[in-house]
Amino acid sequence: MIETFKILVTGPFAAGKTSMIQSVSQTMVISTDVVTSGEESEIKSHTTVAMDFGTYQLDNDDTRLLLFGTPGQPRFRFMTNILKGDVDVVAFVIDAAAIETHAAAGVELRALLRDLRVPAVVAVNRCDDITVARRLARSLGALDGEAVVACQLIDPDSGREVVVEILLTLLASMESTETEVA
Amino acid sequence: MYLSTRNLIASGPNARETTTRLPCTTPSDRTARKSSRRRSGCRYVFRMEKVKAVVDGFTPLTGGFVPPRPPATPGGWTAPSIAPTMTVESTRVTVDLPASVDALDELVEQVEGTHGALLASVDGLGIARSSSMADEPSHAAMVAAAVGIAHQLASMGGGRNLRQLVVDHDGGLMIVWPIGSQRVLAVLAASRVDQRQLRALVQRHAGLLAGASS
Repeated sequence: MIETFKILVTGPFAAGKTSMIQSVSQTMVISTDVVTSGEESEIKSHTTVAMDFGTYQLDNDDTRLLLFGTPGQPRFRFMTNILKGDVDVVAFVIDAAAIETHAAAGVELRALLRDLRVPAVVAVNRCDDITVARRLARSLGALDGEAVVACQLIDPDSGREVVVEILLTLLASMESTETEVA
Repeated sequence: MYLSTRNLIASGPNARETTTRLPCTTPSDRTARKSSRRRSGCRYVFRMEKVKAVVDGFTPLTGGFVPPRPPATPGGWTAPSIAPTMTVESTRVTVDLPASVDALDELVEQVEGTHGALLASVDGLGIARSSSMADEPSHAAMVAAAVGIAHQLASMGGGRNLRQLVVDHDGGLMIVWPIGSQRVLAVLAASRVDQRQLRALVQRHAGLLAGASS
């Protein structure tokens, strides 16, 4: 039997959520990309309006990740509320260079973690320095134990590093549960 | 049932899997697990570093860990398609908001049983609404999200173009049409509304509502 884990991929507008799911999914990504309008069109040409959905399965293993990506703009918050049920890990994507998004992202991340009580992987996009990435994740409210990845999500290999961290986080959280039970 | 990291460490000098195989839990255990996870934060940091050390033992990640490239066009729907019934000839966009509001008000007045109309961009920003509609930014976002999903549902059903989306509820109907490639129109109506008349009127104003200059 395949053990399935639900991963919520969220974060601010234009952080790299869709790119990450596109680069790692092994099945055709269900995407709701549309052209942007107004001020947002100056930042990028397309945006997710409902969700992205992709999957990742380990070869020869019974582990499958279901990746649910949310839109980033606050007006689509209701989609995050719909998608966040029964999540195992939150993958929070943030663009290190988009400093103006960081304050709101911190509020969002802290609220989400308080609400869901699951571990998070903070994927710091457009960042090559893990020290910088950790500092940013910390400033957003990630706990000491939360996994942080410095990544360039434009590069598919970088997306896989985030997946590795997600798998490690799942493994670690199960390990800790097992210890508690024992 | 096990989750293991054997794919991560399947090759290279550090290949081993015995220490990283862990039993997976049942759904009920998972619920309990979620509530207890964050309390045990410290311990799992330590364990994670250990597992990570194993993974970091070789580079790059090879073997079973390379996913096949996803298809170039996600879900067969990268850009919204123009619904055949609400075709707009020009794609040049101009802003003529008062005219749009007038058109929406006219729609609500002329078609019996209609009580509201909202024009939004496909990315969920309100463009115009009939005077009867409240100013609620999330409405435009919800309509855009629903249309985004509806396009995917249409393709799941074997279709290529979404013609309309109908939400049939105990308070009446909400009918949503793609208008051109960049806008959507939601009309709130009673269940008994003459949909053919409504559709004809929307078609007549489609160019204006799409923002195309005529």
